[in-house]
Amino acid sequence: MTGFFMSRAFPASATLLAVVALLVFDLQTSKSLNPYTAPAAIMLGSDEAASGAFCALVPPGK
Amino acid sequence: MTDISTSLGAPAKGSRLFARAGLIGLPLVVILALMASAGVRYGLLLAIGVGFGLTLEGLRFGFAGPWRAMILRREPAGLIAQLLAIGLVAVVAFPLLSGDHPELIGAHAAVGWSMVGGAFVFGAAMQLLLGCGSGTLVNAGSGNPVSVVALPFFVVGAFAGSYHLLWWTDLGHLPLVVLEGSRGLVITLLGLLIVGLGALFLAPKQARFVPRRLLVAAVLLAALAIANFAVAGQPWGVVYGLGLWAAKGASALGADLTASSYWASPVHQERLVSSLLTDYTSLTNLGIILGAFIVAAWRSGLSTRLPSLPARAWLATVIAGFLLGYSSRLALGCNVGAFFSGISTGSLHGWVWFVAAFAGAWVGIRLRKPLGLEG
Repeated sequence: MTGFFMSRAFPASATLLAVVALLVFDLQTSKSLNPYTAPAAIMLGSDEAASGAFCALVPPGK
Repeated sequence: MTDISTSLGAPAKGSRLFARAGLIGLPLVVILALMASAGVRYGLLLAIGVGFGLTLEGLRFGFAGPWRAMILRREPAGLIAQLLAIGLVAVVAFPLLSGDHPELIGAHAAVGWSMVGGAFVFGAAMQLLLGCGSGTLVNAGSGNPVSVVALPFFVVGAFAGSYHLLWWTDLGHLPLVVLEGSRGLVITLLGLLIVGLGALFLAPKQARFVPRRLLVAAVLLAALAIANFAVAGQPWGVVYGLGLWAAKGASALGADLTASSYWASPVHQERLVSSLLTDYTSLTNLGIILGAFIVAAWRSGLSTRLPSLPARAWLATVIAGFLLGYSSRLALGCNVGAFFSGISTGSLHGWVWFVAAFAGAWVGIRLRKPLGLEG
């Protein structure tokens, strides 16, 4: 059996740990989550405006 | 020390059931916890992301690999499956976007110099890494060491590209062209059909078929992309979320992002102070990584031995990872945000992206051997 550090288990575990660290950092530095101010479960059919936080959208320049 | 590769890779029969129950239970608990703590929409998007990861890794559906197969061996199966998935999404997305749904937006962007150049570089970089936007996330989650090394540089590159984005787009672009309504849908489907038939025509006779696995994957991927569109109000994307991860890090370290016209805009300022767990593309990205990990661990794929690559291959991985991120922002999306979602929501830039990235892929394939990436 291939050892942990010589197998894909090592980089896969490192990726998951990095994701967990990212989320811990994020929760420490961002606005608190609040389920009571959450938007509707599904955007389709809601009256919300699209967020605009998407790859293709470019904001107007200064 | 516990050998995790043994416990995840080839557990004894008695513990296998327990391990697999954990692999099913883990995402369910995380999704339900997110729904309870942040809101149902965010949990749904994480679930959709896990579905993307399960489908992409479980059915081995990709973008970079099939393009390589088409260019090197003229095997069209993977490319045709991609076109099928795009067409299925278009059939649903076009009527929704033409209807009375102002809350929905397509992946619409103008064709410009930097967009075309960015797509070309992205095509080359994704062949160097054998991982595209979604593919790098999938491969990192399943323990591919090249993608694990590339991913942080992909993230930093996406941030740097977005930081400079408006400078690049100011170099010049055409007016926005969007195919809309029934006519736009017919043109899009015809375009997909012509590309698919062209790929079949170029293929040797024995390669003129699409395996059932890829057909199933295309249908599942389309269903998930449509779900993403309905829940988030925007098409499936990848690189915005990656750039945001680095932007939040830079901001926390004291960087003033208001110097960038892109990050200074109110939309992105709001994203910077809000949690990643409320950002749509971040959630699906995280879900993809988790879904791919689950499949790899389920299959005992994590016990696969790591490859031995020369130093220049790792250097190429770092540079290609950064370029993957930087170029995808200039290209106004990667294989997902521009190619898949752009075409399926009627944006001309999706088609131009496809042509430019395919040309870049041809170059990238030829760079792999000199850079030591062919093993």
